[in-house]
Amino acid sequence: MPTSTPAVCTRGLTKRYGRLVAVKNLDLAVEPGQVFGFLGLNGAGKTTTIRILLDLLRPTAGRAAILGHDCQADGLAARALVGYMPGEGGFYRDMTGRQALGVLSKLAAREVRDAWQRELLERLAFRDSDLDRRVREYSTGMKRKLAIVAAFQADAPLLVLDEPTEGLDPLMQEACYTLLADVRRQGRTVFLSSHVLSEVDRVCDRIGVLRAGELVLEAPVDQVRRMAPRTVRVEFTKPVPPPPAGWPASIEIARVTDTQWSLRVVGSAAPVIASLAGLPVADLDVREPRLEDVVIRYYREGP
Amino acid sequence: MMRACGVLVRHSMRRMRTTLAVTGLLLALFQVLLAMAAAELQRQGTFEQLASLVPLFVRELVGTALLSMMSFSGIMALGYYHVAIVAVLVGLVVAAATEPAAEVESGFADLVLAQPVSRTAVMARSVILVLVCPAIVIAAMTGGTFVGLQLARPEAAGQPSAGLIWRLAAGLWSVLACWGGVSLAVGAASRRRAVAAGLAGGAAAALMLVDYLSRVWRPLRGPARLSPFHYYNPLDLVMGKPLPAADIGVLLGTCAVAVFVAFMLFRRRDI
Repeated sequence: MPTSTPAVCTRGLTKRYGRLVAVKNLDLAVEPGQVFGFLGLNGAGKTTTIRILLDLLRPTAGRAAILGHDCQADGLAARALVGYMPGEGGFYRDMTGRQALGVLSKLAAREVRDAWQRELLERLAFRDSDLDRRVREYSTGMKRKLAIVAAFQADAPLLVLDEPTEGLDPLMQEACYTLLADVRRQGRTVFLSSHVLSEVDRVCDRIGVLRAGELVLEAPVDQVRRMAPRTVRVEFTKPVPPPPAGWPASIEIARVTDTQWSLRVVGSAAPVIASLAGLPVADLDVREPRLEDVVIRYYREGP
Repeated sequence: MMRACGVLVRHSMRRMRTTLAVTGLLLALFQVLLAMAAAELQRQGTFEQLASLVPLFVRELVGTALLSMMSFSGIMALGYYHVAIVAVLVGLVVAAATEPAAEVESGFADLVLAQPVSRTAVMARSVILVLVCPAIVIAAMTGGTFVGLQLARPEAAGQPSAGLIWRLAAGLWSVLACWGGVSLAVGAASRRRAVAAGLAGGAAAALMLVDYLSRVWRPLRGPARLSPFHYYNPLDLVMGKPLPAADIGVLLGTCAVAVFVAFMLFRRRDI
């Protein structure tokens, strides 16, 4: 359902706790249908932003909106469109999983379809007997799976997930990624915070990086990846002269021996390929840049 | 809002039902045993003997109320003002009133308020609990009183009237509603249930003590006016006085103001 109204929009959003600024002047727009990864180190302000979107926290300045509904002034309408998975806790320890899901489904704006809830439980390997156990008997992973079901069960147009795969085993992480892929295919929006950069690289269309409460990077994942250099390694069958001096600055020489060149290339590798013409190339290895190569730099140094 | 409030009330009542049932049954049973013991004392004519055993200075302090205490009605009223029973009931309302703090602490508030549920609905649920939970237990006590009277069959002359029992129950409920409102205000501003319950319960114990001491120590009579227990005098009711409308007004008025404060605090706070 394409629409011009952003699924998540913040303008000048600021949250202070006394002298501590948790979120500073945050401008963000997440288009409907996107899977948006919200990244940052611990304490960067990710969860604070999410809690402002859900009107659990009140901003010091600025505004936030979900699909056109102001999160504070029109919070009920905004939250009617959200499925939320918190970063931790949430369920009373003396409730059974079934009771917890039951209460939340009765409070949801949309009717929870039994068939869909059952499918979610099956996909996350949740047995009926597990549902009738009390939450205090659950492992961390089971609590996280219950939280995933609670977030997904009402088919909300926007899913806000705070570190969704934290504490899940690899199989369940895979199940979670498949669910996210399905949601994206349905045109729904996902706003997820995560520390796992490989996961973000895999499931997100676009990312925003927070550093000390400020947005230091917002771009599509492909574009961010291209900001990092590819590693190009060339091996020769016999000694060759060093690389030519006229290469552009986007090509950095990392290490050169008689029979091997290691290069870091941002953008086009055409000058390298041209230089290899006529040389006795034995092997050429091009490693694609990783998202973390860029993101970690932003974590450390900012823009 | 009504639908969400209804869902939350059912959810909270389900969580409290065992506590409510056990407390109600125990207090009802206590009333039955009290009625049977009082009837036995009445048959043996030992009320006057018991009164004569009370030291002179206590008799002077308590005055004519002593005669009321040493009667069938006085013994039956014990269940409606005994410090242990009042403490149990105060504990019950404090537990109900501090549920918002427990929900914030456990993170359940995040899950609930991430749904289209207003904070007003969450607090309205707690107000209903604070008023209904003590009402249920006091109703069980009252039921126990009537059952006890039926079983014990005391002499008609000393038997407490139904009106007296209802007045005692209404007075006790008013005190609990008042303290429930105050506890709700504390719970609405807290992040930890233990802190909220400790503050509300500790303050209740202190104010109960101030009220008791003020009856025997004149300088405390001024501060005792701050205690909700000052506005509930079961022995006056046993002596035949009506339920004072002004005192009930103070208790329910304080409850209303405290509930208003609780709503304001919870609406404005960060969860």
